[in-house]
Amino acid sequence: MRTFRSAFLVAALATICSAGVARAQAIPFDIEVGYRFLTITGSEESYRSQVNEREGFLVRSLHVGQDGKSEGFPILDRLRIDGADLGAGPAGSLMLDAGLSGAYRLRASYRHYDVYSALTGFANPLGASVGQQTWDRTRNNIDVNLELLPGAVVTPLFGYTSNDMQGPGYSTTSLGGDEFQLAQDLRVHDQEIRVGAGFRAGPVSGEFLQGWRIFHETESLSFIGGKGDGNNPGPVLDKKLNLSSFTSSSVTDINAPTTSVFVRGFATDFVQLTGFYVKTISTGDDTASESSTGSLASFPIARFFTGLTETTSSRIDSTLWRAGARLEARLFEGVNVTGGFVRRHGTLAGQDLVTSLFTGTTTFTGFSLADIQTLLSANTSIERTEDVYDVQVAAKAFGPFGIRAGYSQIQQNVTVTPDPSEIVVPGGQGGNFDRKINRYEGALTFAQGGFFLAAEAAWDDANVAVLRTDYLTRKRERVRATWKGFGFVTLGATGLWIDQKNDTIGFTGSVTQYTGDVTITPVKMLRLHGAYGRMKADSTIPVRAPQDFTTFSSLNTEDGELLEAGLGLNFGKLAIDGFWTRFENVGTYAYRLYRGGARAGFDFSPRIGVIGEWAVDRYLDYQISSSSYRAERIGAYLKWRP
Amino acid sequence: MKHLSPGAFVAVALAVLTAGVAVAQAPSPPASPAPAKVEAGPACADCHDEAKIFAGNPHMRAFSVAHKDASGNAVCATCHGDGTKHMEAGGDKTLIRTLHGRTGAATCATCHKQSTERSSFMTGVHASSEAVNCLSCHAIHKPDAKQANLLVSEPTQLCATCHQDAASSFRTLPYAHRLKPGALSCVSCHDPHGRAYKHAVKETRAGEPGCVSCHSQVRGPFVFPHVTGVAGDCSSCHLPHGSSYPHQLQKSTVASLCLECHSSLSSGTLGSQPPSFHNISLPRYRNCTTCHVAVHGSQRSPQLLK
Repeated sequence: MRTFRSAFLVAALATICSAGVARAQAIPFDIEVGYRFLTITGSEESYRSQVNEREGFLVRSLHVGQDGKSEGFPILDRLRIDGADLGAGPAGSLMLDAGLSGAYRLRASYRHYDVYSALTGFANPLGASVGQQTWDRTRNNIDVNLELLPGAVVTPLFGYTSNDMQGPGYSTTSLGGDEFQLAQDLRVHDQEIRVGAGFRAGPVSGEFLQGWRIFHETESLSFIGGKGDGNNPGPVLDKKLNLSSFTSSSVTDINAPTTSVFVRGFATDFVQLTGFYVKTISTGDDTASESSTGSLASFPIARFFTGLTETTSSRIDSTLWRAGARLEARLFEGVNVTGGFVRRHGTLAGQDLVTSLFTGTTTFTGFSLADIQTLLSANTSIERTEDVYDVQVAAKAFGPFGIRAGYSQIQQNVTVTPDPSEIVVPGGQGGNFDRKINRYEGALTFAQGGFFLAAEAAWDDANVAVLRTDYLTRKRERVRATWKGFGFVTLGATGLWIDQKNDTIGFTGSVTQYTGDVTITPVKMLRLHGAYGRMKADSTIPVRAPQDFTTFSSLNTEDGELLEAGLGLNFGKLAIDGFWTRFENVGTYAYRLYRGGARAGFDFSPRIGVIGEWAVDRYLDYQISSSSYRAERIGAYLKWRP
Repeated sequence: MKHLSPGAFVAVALAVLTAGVAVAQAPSPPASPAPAKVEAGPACADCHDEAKIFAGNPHMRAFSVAHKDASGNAVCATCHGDGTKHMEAGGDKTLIRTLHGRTGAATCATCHKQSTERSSFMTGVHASSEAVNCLSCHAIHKPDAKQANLLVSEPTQLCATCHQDAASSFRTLPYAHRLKPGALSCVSCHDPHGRAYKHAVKETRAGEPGCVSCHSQVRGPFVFPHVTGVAGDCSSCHLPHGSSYPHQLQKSTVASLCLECHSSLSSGTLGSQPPSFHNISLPRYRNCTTCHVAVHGSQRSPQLLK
């Protein structure tokens, strides 16, 4: 409710301010505002996890535009405010672009998102109820960029970005031989301040920017009454485990100054050289404390215990830099060549100190023992270097043909040094890895008359895999063709083929997708659209079951069929749009999803109009039927151009 | 703000100083072509409505700053050439340069040719050909009034013209980024002028996957990182456009996704074997993230448990 109120407040303020400015300055102004009703049958959790369009007031769209100076408002000759879906969400935005030529340009944006997840099949060890990890949060993003004296020799730049996410949820903890659901309150605030300058000196231009990222996260976890029995239904060494109290809080701070320099120069009108260097040094601290009581067990210390107090202190140091140079040249009319090199280098060093005090301890056979304190001190390090060389030729002057061909080589070197405390079963947690990928790619376009063809392909080969799902060979091919004819028909077809495999491991993966679409405009006021598509995906890789080390194949298939239809009608004052889609997947996880909607707008006058919207989502989950839902929204909006 | 280092204040001071120096300088003309000389007489706007409304166009603003004393027709002449003969011939279309297709785009590139670290107007993934060029998406004279950057329509709709397959993923898969005009669109993650490498996906300024620009809670760095920044990235486990599975995961169950890397069947790869008490035949162990809650990376737990 708090989220809704704040979003509505922003929407209302934006509308009032914009309308005020617009009216005072006779600036073009256009707003759609109204109310959306929502009806759900079936799983509200699934609907909110997938769609989350909610009932409430909504600024459906807002546009304010001004070009050129207006009387009594000499500080700008450019003003643009765009807003969308402010209020009931789940995603709304408000953007400002203002400036005075030669003096300044200010761009600012506000975005709001409702972040919701309560999925039946996720983190759900207890059957077909909603999983144990859910959240209902809001995310607010603000981004402001100010450029002074655009077009001058030196243009000072200032920027600020804020990404704030907060809200309640449920999480789980693995503690004392069982897992318990906990109430969670999380706030994550990521900010960056930027200061710098752009410059221009004849054929050379560039930008220097210094930024400071400030990350702050707080999380608190608390016990939920009735959840003390945990997920483990049976006893552990003849003793039923439970949790009777739990509190935890943690604070994470990261500071990451980033310096970037970019320089661009034109040797001639046809030869451009660019170079850049970016470096980020991150330092972070994390402190956490946790306290719990209950009837619990610990295998590392081979004891039952009734209380645990744990404090954690950790530190992270990370440096990332990348540098590169590129040459772009026009060889002759319509033929360009580019080549470049980029090196990325990253190091990470982490330290972690965990102090745990177990109280009320007994042996697994029931003898009382003294409290025991354990200390975990871990050090981790990673070093990673990636070099990318690439060259590309783009020939665009062969009449209706356009051709692009390129080659790149990616060399990755990763050294991972895990702490012994990370290793439970030896193997696969550290080492030095060298992976080299050669990539050949090409694209062809053809356009003549009403016919258009675009084909692109990329073929990769690698020497080794770092992860088991890394490919050794991969090809990706895509073709799109359209034909426009008779002045009212557009036919389109798309094909996509991806194949990747690693014969050494036995990993294969493929995706095949076909789409055909048609758009018919028999008369100017009517547009009809239809599409049909098939999608197939298969992957297989041998895996090992942890409990008995047996080998089996992890298989995943998708076999989907898509149908789409749409229409647009425009009778001047009356405009109607409608769409309908049906997607059925009969692969590993079978489901069917229908979506449909219509929007009708009628203008009473150039200033006032009304809009009606209807939308429906119907999700049929064949695996977990309780996840299915049908959600219908009806919206009524007033369109106003004062 | 309390975390700002002394270096920050030095940089702020430098920036203020730079601003002062810059203010003292008069803005110099940008490196755009010199305006063609146009004789006094009839104006383009006498016949062309586009010229009348061009006063509110960003191109007109930039031109008027760079060429304060140029005549009214001069801005039109920048792209269309000297229109004197065209006017004298009563509007003969063969005597004026009209801009279509690749040649039209080449005119745009006269000014818009500056590359950046990841994008290029000359050699980007949509580098101008007769089939795809600047004018495929931008309209200089008659853009959609509700779109920024002189676009002819909403970005997602424009991209779907060719990328029908990707566009349908967002509309028809149950777990997908919900594209909304103004809120999230294809260009939120992809740079349409970007290079072909990695599908022209945007990154943060520090070089991290662009996903963390919004999903800042998994940005790190972490004392105990997992995948991203080590040997893979977000797309190792997630499908960014849309997925049939919760959290846009690549596989239908968490256990199958995790075990694909975490199986000790192959030597020489990263990915540990879970200990044997993880009995995945029991529902309790099929959702690895029930215990390994910090699956994106942890500041305090080597096994990503908290």
